[in-house]
Formats: sequence, structure tokens, C-alpha cells
Amino acid sequence: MNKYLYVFRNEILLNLTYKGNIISSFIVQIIQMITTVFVWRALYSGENDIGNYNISEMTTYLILTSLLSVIFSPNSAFRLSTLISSGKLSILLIRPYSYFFESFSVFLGQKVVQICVVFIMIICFFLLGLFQFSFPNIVSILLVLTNFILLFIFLSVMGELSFWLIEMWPLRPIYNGLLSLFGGVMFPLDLLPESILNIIQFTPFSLFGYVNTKAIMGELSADAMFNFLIASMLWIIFFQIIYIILWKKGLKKYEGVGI
Amino acid sequence: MFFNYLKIVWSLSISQFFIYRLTSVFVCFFGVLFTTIEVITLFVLYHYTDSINGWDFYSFLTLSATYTLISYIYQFFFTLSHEKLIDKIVEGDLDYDLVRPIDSQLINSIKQLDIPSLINIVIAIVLLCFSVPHVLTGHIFGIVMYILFVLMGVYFYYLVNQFFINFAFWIERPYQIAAIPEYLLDIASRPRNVYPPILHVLFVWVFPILLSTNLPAEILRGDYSVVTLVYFLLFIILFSFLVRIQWKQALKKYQSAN
Repeated sequence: MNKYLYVFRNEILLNLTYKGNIISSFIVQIIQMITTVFVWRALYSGENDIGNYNISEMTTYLILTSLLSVIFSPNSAFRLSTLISSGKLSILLIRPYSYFFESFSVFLGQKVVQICVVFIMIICFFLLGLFQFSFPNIVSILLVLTNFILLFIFLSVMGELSFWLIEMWPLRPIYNGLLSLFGGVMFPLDLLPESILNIIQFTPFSLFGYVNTKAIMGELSADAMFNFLIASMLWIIFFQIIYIILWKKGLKKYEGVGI
Repeated sequence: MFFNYLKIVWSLSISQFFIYRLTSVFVCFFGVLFTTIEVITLFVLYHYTDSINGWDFYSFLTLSATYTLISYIYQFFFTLSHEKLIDKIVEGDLDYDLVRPIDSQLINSIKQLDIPSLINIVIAIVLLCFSVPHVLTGHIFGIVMYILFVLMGVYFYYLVNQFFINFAFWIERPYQIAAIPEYLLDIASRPRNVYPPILHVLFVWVFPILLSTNLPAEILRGDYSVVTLVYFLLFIILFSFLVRIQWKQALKKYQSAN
């Protein structure tokens, strides 16, 4: 266990060294958030409620999804790609630990710093009066944590594609595009017709964005929360199986030469 | 000479496009994906209202398509060259461009064309063909003015990018700074009157990035003000001089060492 704690601690220190990267990723997200929030606020000038949202609920929703999309970004999926293309994966494979848990420690180290920044920003937005805050209940926190683990396994599977793909970068904009659309970053998914919502809301992208945001805002019923929790766990099992299969097949293909 | 140079750049870019076919297909796919997301978002927004601060669905779609058009025309001509310029400065590879019989700023702005962006330009034009007939209040003069100001927008966006990339002469690998124009243009993808007064003043009168996309759409709608048109033109002229002076100062700073 100690070895993973060292990896975790090192990753936090590494992230704190490159503070500029963290700050810039949040600045980008805030700029994108500004464009979305002000268009929606302009929409409210002639309306009281849109869907189930009043103006402050909508602002809170849009701020929260934007900030969460930084935490739920696909960056960690590309670590394995770098290791494979450089051949450095071999070094990790002969070390006395599991690559899966080592990469989970790295993932946690990266995310802890981002989560801290998100908390600080939420407090800032709250103090500016742009954010309605309510303490999420235990089930909401459990749901967000489950989705967080799902993110790690989902990105791990995505990263495993680098055993077969030379160019991994196209996956980043595809992921971001799908998160914007199916994760409800541009608009809350419950503004879509119910038939479409029923299909989209249980996808991983919806769980990462829309569902997490609604859970933190305390706007999910107990039944809905339970359904999303089950969906998230089923996705974890599904992607875990895919991960194991791809890892075995990928290692057989891996030559360790590097380019 | 410049047109001969452009012909060579074009044929080289086409060859590269066919070498990296899969990458090109991906870039086309992203263009379609992000345009689809934008159009779906507009459908959702306009499901709840007929107008956002005076912009109806077709006007907003025209603005979005104009933003896409400006962004991808810039990308087609300049983005690959600008991306390479930072590394060339750091690695001292600029020397050869400085002794060629063509302007060094020009050659470092158009060295390779991004052919896949053409697909996204076509997508934007298709969107415009769909939206403009519902928006156009003037006549053929409005369309000519629109094309002129789209080109102005591209040139302005080029200048903004060149301005930030030139910082590479003074700061080592300023990738984050070089990305600022892209985020600024994101702000310009929305109608300027949705922003609060302070942002409006900042991005219309201090640094008119909002005008670069909003003016062409406003010209089509026939609700532009001559003051903003003239101001934008004057700003571009002054900014051109500023970027040119910055480039010359930057070359004095360049030491040719990697």
C-alpha cells in the first residue's frame, strides 16, 4: 500500500510544480462558461422559468458542469499512450506493483489538486452570489464517487487503445465533444424531449456531467439516484472486463521498443 | 513571386493531406461533430424563446456559422505555420527564412495549408446558405459587405494570433499564451449584447474581438452602426502596424541559437 501512497504523493507534488497548467485549464473553462452562462441569462430576460430551472438554478448548473468537466477531463487516458510509444511501459511492468493500481494512484494525485481548485472556485462563485449551495447528502456523494471510479476505468480503457493506435490525440476532442453534448455542459439534458433523455442519461458522459451536477445540486429523487448508482456500477463492471481483456491482448502486441 | 510561392505551398499541403489521411478524416469529423453540437444547442435555446436580445434563431445561426467560417479560414491559411513558429524560434531554425527573398513574417505565416479545414469551411457555408435567406434585409450590397468583413475578421484573428505568438521571441515556449486568441474567439461566438456592459466595453471598444464575428452578421441583418464599422477598420490598421513593429523588434531580439 505504501508504494501506491508514494506514487500518489509524488503526483500531487508534480502537479503543484506545474501550477500554470492547472490555472490555464481553469481559465479556459471559465471563458467557455462565460459564453454559455451569459447566453442563458439573456434567455431569461423574457422568461421566469425554463424547464424546471429558474435563473439562479440554471447559473449554478452551468457553473458546476463547467467546473466538473475539468475534473472529468480525458487527460489521464493519454499517459499509457506516452508510455507505450516511448517504450517506458516496460520499466513499470517490471516494478513490484500492479500497473492498474499505480495508474489509479497517479490519477488520484492529478485529480486531488483539480478538486481542491474546484472547491476554491465554488466558494468564490458562492461569495459572488452566482452559485446556490446546498450540502449534498451521503447517497449523492456516493454516486459522485462511483462516477469518479467509472471515469478512471473508462479512461483506462480509452488509454489501452494506444496499443493499437499510433495517433491518440484525436480521441481528446471527440471525448470533449461528447461530454459537451451528452454530459449536459452546453445545456441541462432534462431540457431535451423525454424520449431522448431516457436514452442519453445513462451513458457514461451523462453520468460524468449532468448526473453528477444534479446530484451535487440535490435535485435527484431517491429513485433516480438509486437507478444512476446501479447504472454507474454496471458500467464499471463492463469497462473493467473490457480493460482486462484489452490489457492481455495489448501486452501480447506490445514490443517495448519505443519510437 | 508570392503567387508562385503559394502554388508550391498548396501542392505540398495537398501531398501531406494524402499522406496523413486518417488524421485528415478525424479533423473533418471534429468539424461535423462540433457544428452538430452548436446547432443542437441553438435548437434547445430557441425552443424556449423566439429571440435572445433581439437575435432570432436564424440570426444566431448566421453568427455561429460566421464564427466557424472565420475560425476555419484562419486555420486553413495560418494555423500550421503559427504552430511551428514557436518551436522554430526556440530551436534557432528561423535563420533560413530570414535570408529568403520573401518577407519573413509572411513566409512564417503561410508555410503550410491545413487542407482538412476546407471541409469545415464548406460546412459553415452550407449553414450560411440555410440561414442567410431568413436574415438578409438588404440586397447584394449586404452580401458583398458581409464577405469583406468576414475577410477583415480573418485578418484581425490572424493579427491577434501573430501578436501572441511573437512573445515566443521573449518567453521560452509560450504555448499557453499562444492559445489565448482561440479562447478569445470563443467569446466572439455569441451576440455581443448578451454580455454585461463591462465585458461589452472591453471586447468591443478596447480589444474588438466581438466585432470580428458580430459585425458581418449585423451587416446581413441590416442593424449595424457605421461608427463600429469605421472603428473596427481603424483598429485593424493600427493593430497591423503594431504587430509589424513587434515582429521587427522580435527579429532584433532573435539570436539564432537553440
